[in-house]
Amino acid sequence: MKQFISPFQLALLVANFIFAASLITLPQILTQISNQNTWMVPFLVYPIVVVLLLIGFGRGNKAQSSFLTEQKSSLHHLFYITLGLFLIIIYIRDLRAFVDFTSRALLPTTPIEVIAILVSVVLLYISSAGIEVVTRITVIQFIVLGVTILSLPFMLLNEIELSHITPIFGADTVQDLSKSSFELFPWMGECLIFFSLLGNVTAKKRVRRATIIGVSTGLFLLFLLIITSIAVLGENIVSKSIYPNYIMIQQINITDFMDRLDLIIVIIWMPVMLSKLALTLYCIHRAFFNLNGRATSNLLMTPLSLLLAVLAIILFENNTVHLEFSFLTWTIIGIAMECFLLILIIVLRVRTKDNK
Amino acid sequence: MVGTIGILSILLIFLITQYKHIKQLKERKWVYLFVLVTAGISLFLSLPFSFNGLTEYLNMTVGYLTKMVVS
Repeated sequence: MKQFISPFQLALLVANFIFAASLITLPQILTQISNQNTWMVPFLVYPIVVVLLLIGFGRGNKAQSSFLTEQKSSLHHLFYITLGLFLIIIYIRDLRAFVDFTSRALLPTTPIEVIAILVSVVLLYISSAGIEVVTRITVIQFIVLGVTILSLPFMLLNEIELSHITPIFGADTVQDLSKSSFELFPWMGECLIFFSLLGNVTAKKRVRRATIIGVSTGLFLLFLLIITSIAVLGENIVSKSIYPNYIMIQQINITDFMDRLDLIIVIIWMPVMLSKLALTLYCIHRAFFNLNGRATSNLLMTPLSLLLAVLAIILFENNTVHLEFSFLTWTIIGIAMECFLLILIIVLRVRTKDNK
Repeated sequence: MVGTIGILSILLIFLITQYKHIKQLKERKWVYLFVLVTAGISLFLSLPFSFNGLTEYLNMTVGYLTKMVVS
């Protein structure tokens, strides 16, 4: 039986997908490039992402119809193969980032292979249950994380220094902001994968709105994190630390007995990240082995998730190689693949007959 | 070594418990192939060889384009 999700759930899936992984290390490179003006970058990327989504959707519900069809053309297969490769790169990058963070912050003496295997087994368990379960977990956890992030500026009120975020305009400001936007764009463009899930959305009319609400929510939360971390730590610390947001939440000091809120916030963030990875794994399996999204055999998911876990370990010798890949290589690969996917989505939409 | 043993153990348990289901599956060849590839690649976790060269090559070539834009 085919599984369905509502537009509200789709919105939160989109928000979670673009937000959960980008908060780990991305603010560092953005701040390195555009200094204390970095908090403006999400506002520059937002219109570009929304316009691309609108171009992808087009008028009416043709985009949804093109993915609802049971008979898949060769163009559909090309789209799903490209999407599968795109998601494999995202999965490996995010899993390694998650494992490295866990190893550094929570389990410093545990080998990263063991963390990767344990995380993969958890992801396998969630993904095998299907899109509905992944979505329900995401919705519950993302709302909790969203509320926590919204309350961060209040929790850090005594540490915020407004002079850290005062915009400074110079000769290179526009250039630096453009470079930062170039770095941020492929991370936000990941929301294109939701075109492949359109066949699972119950409503036909509110899908476009839901996707844009999701992008807006994700980018707003990222903006809030960037501006809070720069306001609290200053651009120097943010641009030099690998996990600036983690250092920022360590500054929360409401009372003497609540000075380790950082661990609680990390524990709130972890399921959100796991649900992003689970959704990615589900979509990879679907892109290669189950195009119509029916509840079929998930036997291939076990070796697939373990294979990707091994690749996440052996492809990066250390954290530095992984960071270089995320900040430099992924930017080009991400932009190229996202453009190609968008072109395929438009062609698929144009070729689909209007089913009014 | 711990990673390789862990992966091989999980794959072995998977094959033993799911053998009946795999046997009935049309794509059973794919399942066995994936299991074999995963088991083979997991050996790299304990061997002194690495796929890191591929990533470093990509960082030097593709990543260089981003460096040119950003710096």
